[in-house]
Amino acid sequence: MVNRAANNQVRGISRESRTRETVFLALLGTFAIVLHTVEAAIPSPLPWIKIGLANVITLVTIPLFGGGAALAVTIVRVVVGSMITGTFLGPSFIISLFAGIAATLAMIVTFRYFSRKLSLVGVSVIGAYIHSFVQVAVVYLLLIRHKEIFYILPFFLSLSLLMGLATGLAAILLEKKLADVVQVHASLGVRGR
Amino acid sequence: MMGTVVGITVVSTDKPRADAALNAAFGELDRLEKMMSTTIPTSDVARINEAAGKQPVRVSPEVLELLDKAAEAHRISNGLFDVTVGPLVGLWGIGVKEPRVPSKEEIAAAVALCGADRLEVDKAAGTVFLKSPGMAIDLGGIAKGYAADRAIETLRKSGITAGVVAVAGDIRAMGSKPDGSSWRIGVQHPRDKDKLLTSLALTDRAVSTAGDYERFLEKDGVRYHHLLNPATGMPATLCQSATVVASAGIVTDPLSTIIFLLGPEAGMALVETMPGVEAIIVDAQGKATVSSGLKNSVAVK
Amino acid sequence: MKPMDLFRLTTWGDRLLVVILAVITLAAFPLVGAGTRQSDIVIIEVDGKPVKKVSLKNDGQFTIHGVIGDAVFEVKEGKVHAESAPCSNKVCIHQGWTNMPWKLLVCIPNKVVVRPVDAGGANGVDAVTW
Repeated sequence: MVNRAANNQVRGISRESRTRETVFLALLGTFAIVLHTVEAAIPSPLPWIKIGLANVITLVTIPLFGGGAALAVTIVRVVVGSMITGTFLGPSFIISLFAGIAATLAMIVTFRYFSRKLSLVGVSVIGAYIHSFVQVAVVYLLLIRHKEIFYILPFFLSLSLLMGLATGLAAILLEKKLADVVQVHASLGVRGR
Repeated sequence: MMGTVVGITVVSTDKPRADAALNAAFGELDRLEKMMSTTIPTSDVARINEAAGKQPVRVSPEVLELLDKAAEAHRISNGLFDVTVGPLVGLWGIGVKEPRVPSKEEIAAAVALCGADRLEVDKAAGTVFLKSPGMAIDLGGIAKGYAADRAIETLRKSGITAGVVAVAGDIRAMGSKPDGSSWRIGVQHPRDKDKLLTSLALTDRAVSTAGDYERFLEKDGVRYHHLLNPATGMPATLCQSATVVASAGIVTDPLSTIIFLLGPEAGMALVETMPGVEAIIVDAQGKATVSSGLKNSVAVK
Repeated sequence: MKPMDLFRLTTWGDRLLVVILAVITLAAFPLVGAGTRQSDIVIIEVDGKPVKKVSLKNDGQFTIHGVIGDAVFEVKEGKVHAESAPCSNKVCIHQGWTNMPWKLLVCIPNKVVVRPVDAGGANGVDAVTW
């Protein structure tokens, strides 16, 4: 019920609000880039593993603008973000790209098929988990073929769980506010009453 | 250096002296390499090999002494330890060049070119002669142990009283650690490269290990390693590893190879006949046996 | 917003999911506990091949000849870190000190890996015969 409406790009609404939406999407993209850059400054014991701060934007984009837009935001965030930090095409870029896309796809699927049971928190948690897992997997496959790096997984996964919870809650609150601005009628938010 | 990694640890409260000693020791190792390398054309060994089947070659007294010890090792091992395995080592190329599994004919031809009986050492004239063309000596089975001994000697001459020299896996320990305890030397587990089989407490002793895991190539599920039986030309399959402890590297290096080739039973029997020599042997199934002198102090996993 | 309000934003499905994932994650910790045991020795590998074993018991320095140049590592108080490296990013140096198996020092361009391993021995060893 709700997903369809949220996924459809706004049709038949005035050109003005259409422009407004495009601009808004671009803004979201910018926020994502900023978050990505900030994230890059956070030190991490194993190189190139990030905590997934920027995913909150992707999360919010799914109910408001749909899966396609969310994917676009992710890709733009990683590409531009890596250009800013000077790591474009480097290992950090590859890892962020794979992990980001995997997480976004997982979140889109979760959102599409499980919205009855899960709120954005559930979506976020799954996204965060996948993001961390894919990061470590890519580092293993492409860079450090030592099984020892999987030792950090439980630690990172628990961090992801917490981050996912936090970003999920933040996204729910954010989305409610933004939904008004974007003028999409259907929104995914409070449930389970 | 010497195609492998060398580590020297020195105990001293005097840093300039320690630095000087370390430099002297590395210099000595360098000198030995120039003398015994098969790849440096001006080395004694290379010249001997070059003149195989042609004429005797004058070499340094050190090389003569080494060949003497090698002949002794050849005797007690009934020919299993043989420095004339140059052609075989070159054929298999394991750890040296491109390793490959040679054919039976190639192996037979190489084996025919080995044989310490055709190595003539004339101590009076100071010369060495390989009687047949195509023969070659390779001191790899004894040089590292000797080098460790020489390095320790050099350290001692430089005023150092405690330290450890490790030429790859051939180790010689001198004196004790600053806290008075013995040097602890770990023995590599032959199959799990992250684990140690056990550890030994050594004071003024040397230890060497021959293992099938150091240099090998695997083809069709069979492992071909670098410890070859000179009679068959094939890698010995009775042990996974053999570790020998004795007073000097010049003893432990060849002995570890000999024990490895002899196998757990014959090898341990030989060790028990030698006073002051102890060993840990891991057989082909992974079971470890310890010689009588070590039984009480070593617990093997 | 009070925590209870935040809680009410979640669904039953959310809570179940979080609990399941939390259980799985916590269960994984003991499995990888070995990774957090402090190590006595480090194995250094160049281009995938082990070239050296260094004990963390004794302070000192060692140099490794990597694929593109020399890297210097320092051992101090039971830990090891990269002091200098020939690569451009110096990621390995930023990794800092380590003595646990999960935290390996890695220099990709130079193909050098410094891996702390749990030797399984009671005390650290000063050298390894192999």
